[in-house]
Amino acid sequence: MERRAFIKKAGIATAGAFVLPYILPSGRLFAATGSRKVNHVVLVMFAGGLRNLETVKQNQSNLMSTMLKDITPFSAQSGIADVLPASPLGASRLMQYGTLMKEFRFKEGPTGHYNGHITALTGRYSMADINLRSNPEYPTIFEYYRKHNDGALNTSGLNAWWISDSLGPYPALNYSSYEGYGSTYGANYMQPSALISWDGYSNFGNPKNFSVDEMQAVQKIRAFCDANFANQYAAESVGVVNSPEERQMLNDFLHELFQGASSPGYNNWGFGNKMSNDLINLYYSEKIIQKFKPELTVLNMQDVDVCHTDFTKYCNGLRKADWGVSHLWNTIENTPGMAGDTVMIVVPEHGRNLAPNTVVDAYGRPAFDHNSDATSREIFCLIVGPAGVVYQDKVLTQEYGESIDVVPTIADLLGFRDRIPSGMLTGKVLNEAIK
Amino acid sequence: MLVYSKIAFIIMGTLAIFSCKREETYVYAVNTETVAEAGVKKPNVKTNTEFISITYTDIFGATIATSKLSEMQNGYLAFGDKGILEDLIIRDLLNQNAKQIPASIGSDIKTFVVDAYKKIYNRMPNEYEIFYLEDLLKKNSGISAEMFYYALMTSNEYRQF
Repeated sequence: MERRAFIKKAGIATAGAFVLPYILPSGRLFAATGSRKVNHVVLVMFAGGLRNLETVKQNQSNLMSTMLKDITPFSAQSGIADVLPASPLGASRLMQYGTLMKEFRFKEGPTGHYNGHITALTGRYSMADINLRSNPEYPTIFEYYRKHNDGALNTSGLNAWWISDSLGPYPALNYSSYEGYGSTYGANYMQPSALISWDGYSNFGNPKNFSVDEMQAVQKIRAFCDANFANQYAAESVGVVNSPEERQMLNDFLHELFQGASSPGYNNWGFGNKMSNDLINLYYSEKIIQKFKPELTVLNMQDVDVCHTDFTKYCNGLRKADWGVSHLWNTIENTPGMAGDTVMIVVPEHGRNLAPNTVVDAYGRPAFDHNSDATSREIFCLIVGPAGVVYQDKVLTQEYGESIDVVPTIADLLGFRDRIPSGMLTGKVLNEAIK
Repeated sequence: MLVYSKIAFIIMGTLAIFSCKREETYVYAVNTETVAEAGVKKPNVKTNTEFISITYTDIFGATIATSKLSEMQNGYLAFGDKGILEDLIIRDLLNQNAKQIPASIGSDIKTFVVDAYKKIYNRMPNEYEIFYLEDLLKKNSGISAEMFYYALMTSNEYRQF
């Protein structure tokens, strides 16, 4: 009898030891298998095709003087002389807050913008044609995050955002066509300059408003109609879907943005009418970050792609984009809920050729394409974040890291890497930067 | 014998008279009838272009201009949750004076429901739909024609064809 009681008590104790750790103070039933290092990751695709020669090697002097320490301090040159607003980071440089990998690589596949984006977002090199406008073949980081972040629960779409600075193929990058993933786990997507614009306002900014009672009546009719059509409708066929409550929040947010675009406080970064597409995209990315505090945000910039025909504009675009990235970090670090709990990864999608094409700009500078030569595969990667998570003020000058490492690194930071089925990702966690 | 001959003559004469009647010509035709397919089969999702242009036509009774369509498509593509943008498109169009939808439901609610279904869903409502919606509208006088059209146009069936 004593022996039976002992076994019973021991069994209960053992069961308790297994069960109790999963009943969390937050009310969640299951803890993530991997431990989170931070609760927010922002990936900045410093895209458009950047050569290391003009970025980390500073051949045209330091065109990224808010992010990078000087090798050659910025000096005004013909056509590259705009006086920009003061650095958002004061005397500090962004690289001080993390690790700069100067010899990162985009190793495989055509050096096209679309391929570069797909690789950074899926952790797989892509051989897709650069003009292909379709969802990626493999799951995106958004889908991995939403599907695997919280066990059986599908993490809210408001926690995952993809913000692009142009349309073209980019609206299709918020989810893949991979079986078992797809739009159900996709990111909320926005291309601000096409939506929060005069055209956008004239088509979407002045909707008929119904009262609460009227909306209830409308919903009753709609619910009846939807019930009669339930066996034919596939919600995910029209893209990412938010819950009714989340949709209301998004509706309110869009209304705020339309209102804000005509208010005195709009676009107050000090650039006047020289706000570039990149800066506009960063401006609205900050609005999204401040409003929703997403756990995973990905945005891109592409103005420097003008380098195909105008090297001088490329340099000017690079300076503005550099300023904008530092402004973004400053905003993150001043946003309650994000400050001190965010890692930001900045990486171009690919580089540019060593040899110029035949075009010469108004200042006599030759232009450069990106045709998969060795130089067009050379990029950098900067990871900044809390000192307890990211190695501070560290520079790697030897070749280390590649584009397919970004997704595993994000998954590691947010604590769900172990839940991604084996074989899906071939890259590694960037442990030279992440502790 | 003579009697039999007379009878036979009469019968033959009678047959001869009636057998000469002109044959009537019958012309067959089909009455005009509206044939509704049983049930709803709309397996295809409207493309962005189809959704915008059909919505515009349904509300204004006119074809959308190419430039306007291009403007609206850009905005439509610029947001991931299409349901939100579709709702905004419809409400924005409903907020314009040129809309061509009934100003009121009128006294003949059944006809209103049938006309709305034909215009928005491109089909006849079934008897149950007519019964339910007619009853709903009778009991809720606060529901306007605009609200009814808005409900149908933001329903899932409207997204497909």
